[in-house]
Amino acid sequence: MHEMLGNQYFLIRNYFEAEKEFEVGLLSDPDNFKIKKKLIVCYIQTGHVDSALTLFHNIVSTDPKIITDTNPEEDNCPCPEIIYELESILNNSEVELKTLSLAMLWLYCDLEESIWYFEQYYQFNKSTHIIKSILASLNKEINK
Amino acid sequence: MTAFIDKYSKTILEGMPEAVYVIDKEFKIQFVNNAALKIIGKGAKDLIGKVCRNICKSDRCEIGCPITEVLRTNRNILDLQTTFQKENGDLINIILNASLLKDIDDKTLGGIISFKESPPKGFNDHLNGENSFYGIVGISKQMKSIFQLIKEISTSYATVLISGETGVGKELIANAIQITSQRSKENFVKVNCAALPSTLLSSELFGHVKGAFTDAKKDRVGRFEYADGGTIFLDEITELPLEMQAQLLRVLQEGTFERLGDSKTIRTDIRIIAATNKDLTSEIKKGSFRKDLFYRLNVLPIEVPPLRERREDIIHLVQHFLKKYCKKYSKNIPSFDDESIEILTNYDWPGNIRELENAVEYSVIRSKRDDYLCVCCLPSNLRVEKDCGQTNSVSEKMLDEKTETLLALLRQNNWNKTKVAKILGVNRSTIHRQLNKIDPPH
Repeated sequence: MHEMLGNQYFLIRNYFEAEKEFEVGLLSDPDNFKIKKKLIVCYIQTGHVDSALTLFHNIVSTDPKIITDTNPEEDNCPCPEIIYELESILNNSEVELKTLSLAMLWLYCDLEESIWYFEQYYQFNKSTHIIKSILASLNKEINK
Repeated sequence: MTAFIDKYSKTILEGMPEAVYVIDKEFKIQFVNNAALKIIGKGAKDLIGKVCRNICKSDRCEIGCPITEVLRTNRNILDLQTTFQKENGDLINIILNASLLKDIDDKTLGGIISFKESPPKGFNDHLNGENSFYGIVGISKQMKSIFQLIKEISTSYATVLISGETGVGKELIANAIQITSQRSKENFVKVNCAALPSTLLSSELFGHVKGAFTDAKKDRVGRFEYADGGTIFLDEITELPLEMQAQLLRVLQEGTFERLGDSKTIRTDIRIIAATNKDLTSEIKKGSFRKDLFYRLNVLPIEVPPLRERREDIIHLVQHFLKKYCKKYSKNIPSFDDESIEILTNYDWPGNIRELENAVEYSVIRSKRDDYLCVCCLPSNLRVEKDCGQTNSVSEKMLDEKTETLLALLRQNNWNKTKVAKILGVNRSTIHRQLNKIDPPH
């Protein structure tokens, strides 16, 4: 029930409410990747980028296809519109955070763009083990 | 019999005269019967796998998706009057039912929506007795003067600003203004400004052209353009972001706007009815609402009084909702007893008519008698230390106490039985047994 209610909030782009419902939904179904991939977007939109990254890493380590198989139009995925907005204000402030958000969001639309943004983010913070691991998984995926 | 149903369930659904479609958890359409295809005006292959709100364009998608309401309240929706936009753009009136599709383990799989066309209501259909005006129940002086005002402004196209606390029936007032106006046969579009995020609101209201943003794959008509010649109801107007308030001001002043990403100016002729439950003057002081927009909207102000300031309406509203819910739950209870009426009329109703309606529905559900509703059936927050002492045995009373606690906890925890079971320190099956005592499975 929580997953479906979260889906509705997600469809109308009410990310705060969707986040709440998805989190409860995950409690009873912790391996539900459909919830997880939407929750990443919610976390980015509600400013919980660290939580988004943790979930993103979890999915990408399992199988990047869970995210790359998204059809933005059919799935009513909000990523294209969020990317459009974020890219238009990328250089204003918080460049690191926005680059990381874009890196994650691009994976829903384009694997290569996602890798490019992760590489950009890696330049900001080379000590991040999690980014190295994500890049390794994504590069492995692109070379398949 | 079960094998027969299993084998022919799809054929049965296909043959139903009522339109039926089924959605999955992602709100994607998984089944549409022939009657629905006929009303929607599209083939099954154009619908299956598509998100329902992109197809149905019901005003309910914006102001409260029926399936979402079922998910929120855990109650099916029955006989909801709403509109549906056909493929050719025609807006039709429908009566809709919505319920959840669950598997054997009570897990939600999706939702079922059934609907049928309903003839538009004529003038007389709304005037159901002297206590009601276009579905608005009230005999108080304040409400009568509002009804009179609505009649007087029926020839005007001026903007209306409806204010009042939550639950006072602002949407019903807007409906009455639209249906009595000379634009009653034109499009009537409802937008809840709080239900749409700011990123979508601009595109929803003003439309966009292909390529306006990454996801804009084709041109889209906005609500203002769609309502051209008709009326638009902007509920919770204070939730409009400031930059959109400026755009709305331009629509009000010049009747013009541009679709997102387009330089072509569109001229529109719309009547705007706005509503708010907030004090706009304090919103202006806070800087969250434009003063110039307030003056533009506030041409015909209508302030709907809270229920506590028109207690004489309560008894009529109670009778109205009692009739409604007796029909819904197939009961035949003519009235509340005197003590209950006293409680209902003396209570302050902070949630106004919405709260009163919920209280009546609760009482009808809980009632075990057919002659009248007594104090015991009222929600516990109303009947402080009151008990009719007539109908229920000691064990029934104990069950009631337990039930009350259980229902309150379920409501607080979004009807999550597992969570409530944990709080109470019992098994989930105990919760199920308790609930079955209230409403045995059929």
